[in-house]
Amino acid sequence: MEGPPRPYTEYIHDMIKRNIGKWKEHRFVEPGIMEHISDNDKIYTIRVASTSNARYSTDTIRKFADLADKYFDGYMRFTGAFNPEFFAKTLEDAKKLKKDLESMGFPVGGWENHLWNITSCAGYFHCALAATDAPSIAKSLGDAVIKYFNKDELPAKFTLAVSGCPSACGGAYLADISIVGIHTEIPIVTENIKSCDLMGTAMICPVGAIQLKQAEKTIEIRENLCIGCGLCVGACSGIIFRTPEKTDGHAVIVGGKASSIPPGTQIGRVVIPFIPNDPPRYELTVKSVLRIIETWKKEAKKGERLIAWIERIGWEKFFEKTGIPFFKQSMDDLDLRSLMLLREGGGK
Amino acid sequence: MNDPDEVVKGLEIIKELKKGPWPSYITETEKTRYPLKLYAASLYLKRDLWTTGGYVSVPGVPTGILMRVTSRPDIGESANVVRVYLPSGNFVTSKMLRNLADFADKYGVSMVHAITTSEDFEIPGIPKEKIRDFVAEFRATGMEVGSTGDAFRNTTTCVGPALCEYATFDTPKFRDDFYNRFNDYAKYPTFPHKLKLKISGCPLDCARASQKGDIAIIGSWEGAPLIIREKLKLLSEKEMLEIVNGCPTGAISLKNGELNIEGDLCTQCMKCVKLSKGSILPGEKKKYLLYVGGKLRGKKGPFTAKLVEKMDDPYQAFDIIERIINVYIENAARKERLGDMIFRIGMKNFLDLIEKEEKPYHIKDLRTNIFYKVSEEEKTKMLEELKKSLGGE
Repeated sequence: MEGPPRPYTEYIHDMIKRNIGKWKEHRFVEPGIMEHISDNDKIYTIRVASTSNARYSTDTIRKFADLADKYFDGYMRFTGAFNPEFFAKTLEDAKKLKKDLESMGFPVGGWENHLWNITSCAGYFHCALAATDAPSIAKSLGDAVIKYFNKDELPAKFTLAVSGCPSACGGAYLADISIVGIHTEIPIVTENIKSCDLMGTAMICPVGAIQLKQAEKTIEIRENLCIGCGLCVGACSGIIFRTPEKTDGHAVIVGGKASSIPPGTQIGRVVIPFIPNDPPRYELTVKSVLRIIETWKKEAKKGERLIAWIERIGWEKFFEKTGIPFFKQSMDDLDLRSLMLLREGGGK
Repeated sequence: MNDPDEVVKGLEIIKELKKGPWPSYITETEKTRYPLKLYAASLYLKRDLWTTGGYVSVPGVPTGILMRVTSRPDIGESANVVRVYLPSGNFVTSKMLRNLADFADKYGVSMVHAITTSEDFEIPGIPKEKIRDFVAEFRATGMEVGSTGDAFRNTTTCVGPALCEYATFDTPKFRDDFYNRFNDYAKYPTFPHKLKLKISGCPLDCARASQKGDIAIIGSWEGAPLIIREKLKLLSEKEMLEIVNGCPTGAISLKNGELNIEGDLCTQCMKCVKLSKGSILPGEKKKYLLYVGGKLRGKKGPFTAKLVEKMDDPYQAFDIIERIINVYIENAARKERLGDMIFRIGMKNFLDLIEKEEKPYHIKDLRTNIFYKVSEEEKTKMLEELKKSLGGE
């Protein structure tokens, strides 16, 4: 069949299939274990921390398959936030499964007022656009905040995402706190440019920094205009980032969320405009994320997502309470985008 | 042959990333044939060593392959990544996982990217000359590659009614039906840029449709949510008060132990539903909201999606999607995302193009300037409508 395997009902357990649309309640048992209740059945879902870039060896994938066989007749799923998610038929089994996973080095946690997971893009691991290496940042953050994943409670749901560049493949801008890589140098044009659609490439540029040189069959990137967004690099193999070593960095972006609960769907805002890349452990980045989490934990009301708390106290107080300095780059000067956000859409 | 200096130093750096309680991707990667030396060197140099390669053209495989080109062939080889569709709701079976592992061992580097942000799987490290064999063999096992290029990217949904009582419609089934009708748009890259459909079964939006969807469908309802009285009785007074005080619009009141929700004040935000332990559920008069223009990338940076239509049946969306596709193909510039196109031409023009009447829910605020045109025809129509609504002859 063309397209995805379907219908999906062929890939779910009978216990799930007979309860489609008949679930009555889902209940949080402990970090990483959720109970689903219908009139006749109960099942448990177990949420697992992913490796930071969601890459696994085939050995581990087969071990996951074995666990799915052992506890739920060979069925499991993956969440959009990278978590492998297992099922169990009893709470006792769910706890055994948790132990099995933890002995494999995969902590179980998330849901309710905890960290749900950390998502990350490929970064230097497998991508040409990365300004910063997302997986190593995600791993460093994970090690620092794991207690909020499987132990300590936060005021509300909390998510983290790391993306290596403004393309935000790692889900940055969506999460409560995200890290996004920033290119500080402009891309350069190589001889491969001849294979590119020049007009198309010039049109992609959001700030008109690409000048067509039709006679020479090439383009020129105007340094003073370029904002380093990387759109042209992604579209044409004749334009590459050839950043001098060690100069790129990343921004700390705060306050994304998707659910309708006020203040509704939000895209994250730039709180710290630039931190230089500092692998492997990114001390300053981790410190700033921890500072925001801890201040939010101390000050917010129960059930208040990070951005809800910030909207209540205002950005001025946010900077004051967290002790994070305010930089002028946090003010938007790109274009009339703010006007559009004010006037159009967002209705219920 | 000795490794270059940056590899030796890089391998020292990545040792550090094997420590700590969070699952280590380095430990996982060491069990594969992925070129870890290349990655190690890039961490030491603080510079990406992959470079863009554009698209790989393989006959019979219009979408599903990503090219990865190394800039340092001496320490790591170029490779392709193949993207794989999952069943709706990302439900997988152990058989499917073992099958993927077998393919990754045979064709790839024994590594599986088990779920990307757009909710498909990837098998990295497949050499170009092996792709045709891979795809043919892979398709024979009932799986399909896809979701790259300027086509419909992977449509994602929440788990829907398969695991969640909040779902207002069968979102995974809706995705299946979407592919029954629109698979050609997903298979062949014919759009100005990529297009993504995201589907959430309730306003909590677990599929993150309102953030990521060029086109998004979110299940909702009209009026007050449904109260299951016999379950509500089981809640303590403290829990009841939490629900009452939790409502952001003050729509919930408690009189003589009886909880009431004022439908007119309800904004369907799901806060009470979440607090109610299964005793409050989405209301019975379902509405399905269609949003457009959400994205994270593109010319103007990230946008949240904007509401364009309230539907009584989610399947009404299919015809609207067809129209949006046509408008997008005709009006967007090359590599312009739908959200950027709408920003450029304005929401009002976009609504005209998809033949939707402008409604107050399309805006957050009204215009303040009076620099617009009213045609003679519209003048008459406005006068008639005003008289009809406000009284007069």
